[in-house]
Amino acid sequence: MGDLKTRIRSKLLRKNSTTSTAPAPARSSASSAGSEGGQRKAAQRSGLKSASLTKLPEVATTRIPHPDDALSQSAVLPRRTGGLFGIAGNGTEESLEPKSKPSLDNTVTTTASSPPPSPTAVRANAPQVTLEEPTPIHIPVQPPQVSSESVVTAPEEPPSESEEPSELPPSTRSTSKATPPDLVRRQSLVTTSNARIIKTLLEPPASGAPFTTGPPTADYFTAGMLHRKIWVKRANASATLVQIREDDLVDDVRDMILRKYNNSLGKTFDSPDLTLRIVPRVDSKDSNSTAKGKYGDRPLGPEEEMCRTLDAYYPGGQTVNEALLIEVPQRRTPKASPRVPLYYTHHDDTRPYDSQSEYFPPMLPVTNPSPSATTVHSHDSRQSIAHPPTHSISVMQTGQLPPLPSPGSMRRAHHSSRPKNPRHNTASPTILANLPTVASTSRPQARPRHDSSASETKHSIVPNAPIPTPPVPTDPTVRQTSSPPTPRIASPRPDKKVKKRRVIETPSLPAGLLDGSVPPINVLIVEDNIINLRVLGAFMQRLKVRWQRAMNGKEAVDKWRAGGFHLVLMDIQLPIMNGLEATKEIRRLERVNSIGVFSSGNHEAPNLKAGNEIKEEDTLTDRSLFKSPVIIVALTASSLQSDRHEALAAGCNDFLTKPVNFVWLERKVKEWGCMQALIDFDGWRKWKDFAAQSDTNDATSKISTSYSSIAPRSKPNTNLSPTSAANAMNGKMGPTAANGVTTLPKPKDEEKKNKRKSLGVVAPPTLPEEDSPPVSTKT
Amino acid sequence: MARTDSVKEAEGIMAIPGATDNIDSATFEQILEMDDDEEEREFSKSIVYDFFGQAESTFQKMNKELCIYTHTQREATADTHHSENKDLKTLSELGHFLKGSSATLGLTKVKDSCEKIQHYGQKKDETGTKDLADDDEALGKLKVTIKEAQEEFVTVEKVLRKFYHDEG
Repeated sequence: MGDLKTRIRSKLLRKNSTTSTAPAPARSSASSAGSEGGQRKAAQRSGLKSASLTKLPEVATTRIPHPDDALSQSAVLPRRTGGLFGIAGNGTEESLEPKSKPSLDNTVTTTASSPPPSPTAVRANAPQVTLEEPTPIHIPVQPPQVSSESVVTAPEEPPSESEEPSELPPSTRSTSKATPPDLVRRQSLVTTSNARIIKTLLEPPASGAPFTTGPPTADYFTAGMLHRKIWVKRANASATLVQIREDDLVDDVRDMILRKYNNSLGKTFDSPDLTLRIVPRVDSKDSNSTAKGKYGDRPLGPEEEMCRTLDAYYPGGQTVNEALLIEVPQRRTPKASPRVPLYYTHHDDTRPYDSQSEYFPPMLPVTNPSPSATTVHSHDSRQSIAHPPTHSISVMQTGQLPPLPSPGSMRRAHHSSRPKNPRHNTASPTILANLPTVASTSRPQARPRHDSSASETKHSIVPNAPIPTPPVPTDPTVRQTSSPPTPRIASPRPDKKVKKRRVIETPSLPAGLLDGSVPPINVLIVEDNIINLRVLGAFMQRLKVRWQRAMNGKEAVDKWRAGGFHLVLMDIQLPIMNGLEATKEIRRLERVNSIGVFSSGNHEAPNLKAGNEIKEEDTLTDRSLFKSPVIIVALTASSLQSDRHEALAAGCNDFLTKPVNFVWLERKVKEWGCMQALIDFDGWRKWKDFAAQSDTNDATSKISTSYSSIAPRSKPNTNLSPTSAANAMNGKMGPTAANGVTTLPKPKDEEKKNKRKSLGVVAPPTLPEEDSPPVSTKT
Repeated sequence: MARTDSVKEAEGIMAIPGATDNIDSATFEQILEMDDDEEEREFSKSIVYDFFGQAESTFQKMNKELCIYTHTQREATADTHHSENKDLKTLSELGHFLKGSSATLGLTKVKDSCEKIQHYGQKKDETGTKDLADDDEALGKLKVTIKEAQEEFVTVEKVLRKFYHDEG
């Protein structure tokens, strides 16, 4: 055994010498990651090599229990070996960064300690030898352990040798080689540690701790590269390191800090907003009391040289406890309405998710609707339309009426305090993303040594989870969170607003700007007043939203029955059939036709008796055009609360006060349109493709016009929603058979049509209009 | 809190005498903002001129209703009560109708008067909360208010025509 020991030792020595001088050719792919890193480091400061050698035995001792696990828990092996390699790779670094060593030992012991030590020393030794024997590649890695252990249990090694091959088939080993992510990460870190930009260094991967978290005073950093790390922290938060250059001014440091506090500060503050406060050391009284008088506890000026100041204050180096205090100015933005304090505090964090997630997260629920939702819809037709009216219902239930959504009459007074960003606290289920992101806000402070990108993906995934739930009408809590009225109205986005508004309303609107923001919905404007109709229509045109008009409630119902509308702007006081009646009728038809949130066309009425009871005249012709209950936004001239209650009770989802404020209107269109686009994702995607095409072909603003002229005809097409532009193109070929089934007469009145065209409106196939507004609406 | 360019845009019309009282600049300016060309102002001008026509015809109808009503009232007695109510209702609807478009354009005074007409036609007081005593009271108020509304309309029409450089 004695010669085995010496053999191993010599190997160990050889290993260390090779790593310090040249790449170890014998390394396997698994170990190369770690060793390469170590080797580069070692190469950088080869002078320190000897020191590392002396440290090695110590490290090895800590690993003694380790092999036990490998055997007793084969499943754990990959991780273990990963850790092993990592440690071996780090072995040379130990002496360089003494402070990081404790943490290293920690990781080893904690992982190793969980399973009880194996009773037999034979088994304990087995993995070491096994790794060594079949694949000589590992030799460089293993020796440290063996050497330390051989002192204790050397005689038992040979049996373990024989034992091992059965224990560790090559396959397991190969997986163990392939898997350790730690190694890969460490490699990237180390290779970049030298010249990478500061930011990457500021976010050390979890496993990379030994290298990057070394104390800022590490010689090679300051001396060799003019880089240096300083401790900073926010009040009552844990300190963090920020890397700066030797000659950086405080102003530069603020930039770095903002990068580090990307979430909590970076989105709200600019670097000049920050103040760095330095607190002098208190310990050595006499000598520093003068210094204290000289440099008190004070904010640092932006022009000061950071390092020099720090050196003056903290001779011998800054410690964690002496971290510079980051101070930020008080929030300048107005406070949120007390209704949604939570959202306000974190709203900066939620915004990116709103925009990022766009349409995609909701695909999950669409493709994979929860069974409860579908069953509920199919068995209770009344509930199947429960989702959109949910708002009204929730309003009723909570007894809490949303604040007036459209400032209308009090516009002037409320102008400045009006909510800013429609998509923030809205109906959209994505609001639930707030919950996970709340946690993320505290991340920068108590941040574990995690790869930040990894944690971000984690967070961005979370918002997907809650989305399937909102349509399920049975869960009151979900409904609460997802039902828009209260949070939406209160959403305070003062900072954003002015910019937003300007963008939208500026006449010289960039053509492509709105493409992404306004979903491709089909809007039905129900207005008896031609002036209002024209104004609303022009605004829709501006938003590049397809729209049609109806002059009274009956016409509205008829047009809706043709299918394909996502949003109805419903004036309440209308001739023939008022808006409330029309709304009720639409809801009734949706109910009898079982149009639920996720009722696609094929979801026909294999359901219950209601299917049989649908009267002929109530049957909707093409169910594929009714992906979901239409959103009805009431346009109320009255600002009376009772009217709003009435509108909600009738089945409206929302309301706007006339005169309609365009900012609000756009907001509603986006808000509800996005929701509908989520439901009809396929249609949206096709439209998107088409829009991209026609944008290249036709950059003018005529697009929306062409849509509106095409859209009505495209409706009869089956399968595809009319939102789909592909469908719109097909529509040029004329009405298909599906249309023939409709109960609606085809458009005959060419004159009327042309007249409408001149107004920028194109009439879809409809019933002949009744002329009955009390006042002639034509001018 | 008007934006700077809104102020600038609205200045044009708000500088005209009588505009500040009659026009809500924020509302009117959002119509103006839909103009593609700030010189031509094609869109807003057509809207505004359509409104002129609409208002005139609506006032005509109102006056006609008033005439009919007063006429029938003078001749008939209680048995015509039903038709009287219907006439009042028509006036209310007309008021509502014009209220909508005047509100859209931000013609506040006209809009407010139209709202009163709407309420009076329902035999309510001007805020629409209390019932009026009888048809006569409603009719009396209607006459006054319709006249006011017409005057207000004429005033604002002048302002608007001036704004569109149409002094005719």
